[in-house]
Amino acid sequence: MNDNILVTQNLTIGYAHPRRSSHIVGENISVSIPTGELICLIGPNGVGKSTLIRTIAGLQTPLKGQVKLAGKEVNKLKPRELAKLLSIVLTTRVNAGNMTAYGLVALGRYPYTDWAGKLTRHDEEAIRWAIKSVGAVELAQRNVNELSDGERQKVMIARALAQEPTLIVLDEPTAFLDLPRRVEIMRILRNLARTTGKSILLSTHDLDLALRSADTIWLMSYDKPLRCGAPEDLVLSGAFQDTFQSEGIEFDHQTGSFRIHNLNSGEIVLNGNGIHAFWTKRALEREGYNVLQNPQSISGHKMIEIIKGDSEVKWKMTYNGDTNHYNSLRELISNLRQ
Amino acid sequence: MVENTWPSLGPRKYVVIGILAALIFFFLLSLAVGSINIPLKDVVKVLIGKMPEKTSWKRIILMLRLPRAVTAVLAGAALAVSGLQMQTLFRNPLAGPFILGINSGASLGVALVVLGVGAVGATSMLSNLGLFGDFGVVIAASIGSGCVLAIVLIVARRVRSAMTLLILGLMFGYATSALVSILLYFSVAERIHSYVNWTFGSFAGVTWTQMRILAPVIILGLLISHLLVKPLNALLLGEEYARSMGLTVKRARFFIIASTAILAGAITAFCGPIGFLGVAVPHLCRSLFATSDHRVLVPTVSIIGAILALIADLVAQMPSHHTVLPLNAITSLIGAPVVTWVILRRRNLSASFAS
Repeated sequence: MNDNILVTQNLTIGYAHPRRSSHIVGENISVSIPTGELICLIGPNGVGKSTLIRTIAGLQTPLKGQVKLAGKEVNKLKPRELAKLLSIVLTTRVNAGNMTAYGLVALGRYPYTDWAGKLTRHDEEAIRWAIKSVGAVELAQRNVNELSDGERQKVMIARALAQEPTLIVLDEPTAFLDLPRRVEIMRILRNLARTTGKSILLSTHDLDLALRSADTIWLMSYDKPLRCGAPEDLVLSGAFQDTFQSEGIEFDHQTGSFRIHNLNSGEIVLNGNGIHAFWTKRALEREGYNVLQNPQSISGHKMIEIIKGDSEVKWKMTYNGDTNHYNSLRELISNLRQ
Repeated sequence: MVENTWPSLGPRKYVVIGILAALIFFFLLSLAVGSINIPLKDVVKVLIGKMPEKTSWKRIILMLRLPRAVTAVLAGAALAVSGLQMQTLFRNPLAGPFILGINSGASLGVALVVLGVGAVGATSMLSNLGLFGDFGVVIAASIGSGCVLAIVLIVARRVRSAMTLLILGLMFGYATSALVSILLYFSVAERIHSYVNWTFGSFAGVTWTQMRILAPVIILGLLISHLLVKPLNALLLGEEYARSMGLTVKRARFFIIASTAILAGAITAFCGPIGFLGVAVPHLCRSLFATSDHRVLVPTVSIIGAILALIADLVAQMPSHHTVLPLNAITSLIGAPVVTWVILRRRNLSASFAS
C-alpha cells in the first residue's frame, strides 16, 4: 500500500549493553501503519509491547533494521521534525505541577511556537480543537492535579492531538482506568482515527475492547513472530487462542472473551432464554459446571428452570424428583455447593 | 461555547508591575537605612545626581550602600532562578542552585587559598587577609566552581538520565567537604575564622571594580535563563514527553546547567555560599502565582529573589546598630517561616512534585 504512514523493516528491538551482548526482545518485525487506522498492539506481559512502542516512537533506537515514518528514518529525524509527525501518550501519570488542563494541552504546540512558546491564533485554535475533539471542554479551566486518571488521560490525548501529528502512539493509555473510562477512551481514539485521518497505534491489555475497536491488531507472542490482521481474522485463525493459552484460562472463539477454568463440577441442564438465562449460565460456569442449555431430551442431570413471574424471577431446580425454588442466584449457587 | 471561557496563559501584567514596584521600594529602603539613616528623598537626590543635605551621605550611598544593594539584587535573582531551573530539571522540590556541587567546588577553592597556603608556610604573605582577601578569594572560588562546572557539563553530555547528575553532584559535595574538613583540621584559628566568615556570606564585599565582572556575568546568566523558558516548560512533563515534543533534551540540559552554574558560581565566588534563597523562592512564587509556567516563573522568581535578598540584607545590617549579622543565618531565619506558611496555606507543593 502506498498510504502507509509508518513502515518498519526487519526491525530488531531490545536493549544494547555496552559490554555484554544485547538483550533482544523481538526480531524481524516488519509491520506498517496505514493512514487513518486504529491499531492495537496486544500480547502477554513482558512480551515487548512497550519496547516496540518506544522504538516506533523514536524513544529508543532499534538494534537492527529501521522505522520509517513518512519515508524518513525516525532515528535520523530532528526532534522537532519528528514531533510534527508523531506524538505520544505514556502510561506513567504525569505530574505537571500547577497547570490548567488548557496549559497542558498548549504544551503540545511546542514544535510550532517561537523561542518563548508564544501561541499564535492558529495555535490557540489547534488547542481548542484538540480539547473539543476529546470532549474535554469542561476540563479546560481545571488544574491538572485535580483531574481523575481518566480525565487526565483525555487531556493527555488532547495534548498529543494538539501537536498535529500524522501518527499518535499510546503506550497502555487505559492501564489505570475503570471499564467505562476505558471504553470512553477507546471510543475517542476510534473517532479520532475516523474523523481526522490520523493513524493511532496503542498497546493495551484490554483484549475485548481491542477486538471491538481496532482496524488492525498486532499480536505479539513469546515464541512466534508478530502477527497482524483484522481482529476477526486473528480470532478465526486461532492466533488469539495460542497466544493467550495458559493453564486455567482459555480464549473462547464463540464469545471473543476469556473463559476461566475452575473445578469441574459436571454437567447441568438450564432451560430458559433471554437475559436471565445468560447470567444464570455465567453463574453456573463460575461454579465449574458445563451448562447444557435447552437440550432436546436429557435425564439424570440437575435441571434449572427460570420462572418469570409478574414482578419477580425465580429459579426452580429439579434433581432426582426433588424440586426447590430459589429467589436469587446466590441462593441457588449456595444450595448447589452443598 | 463562548470564546472568552477559554483560559488565557502567560503572565498577568498587574502582578509583574506590583512586584517591580516592591523591588524598587526595597532597593531604595536598603540605600536609606543602615548604621546611619538617610531620608528617602535624599537617597533619590543622590541617585539622580543632585546634592543631598549632607555631603557625607553621597559617599555612603554611592561607595558603600549602592554596590551592596546592586549585589543583593543580582545575587537574589541569580540564586532564585538557578534554584528554579534545578527544581524543574531534576523534578525535585529540594533541588537548589548548589545541588550540582557548585558551592562545594567554590568552598574547596577558597579553603585551599585561605587555609592551605598557611599550612604550606607562607603565613606572612597572608597575615593581612584584606589585601589578599578581596580578589584572591573571588578567584579561588571562581576556579573551584569553574572546575565543578566543567566536570558536570562533560558528564551531562554523556549520561541519559538527569538523576545520575544529581547523585554525582551529591557525591562531589561529600568529597569536597571531606577535603575542607581535613584542611580545617590542620589550620590555625585565624585562618579558620576567615574561612568561616566567608561561609557566612555577605553582599558587602563587592566593590565597583568587581562589579564590572559580576554584573555582566549575572546578566548573561539571567538572559540565558529567560531564553530557556520554553524548554523548561516542556521538561515539566518529564524528559520523555519533552523529547517527543521536539526538545533536544541533552542540549537543553546543557544550557540549563551552564546558566545555573554561571549564576550560582559567580554569586558564590563574590558573596560566599548563600543558602535558602535558591530553594525557597521558586516554591514561594509557584504558590503565590499558582502556576508552573516558566514564562511567568522565571521573571517573577528573579524579582522576588531580588526582593528577599534585599530584605535579608536589610535585617542583617541591623538598622541603627553597628553590628552586622551573618547573612546566611538571616536568609534562613526570616525566610523559612514565611515559605512554610505560604506552602502550608496553599498545599500544592506535593501536587507539583509528587512522583
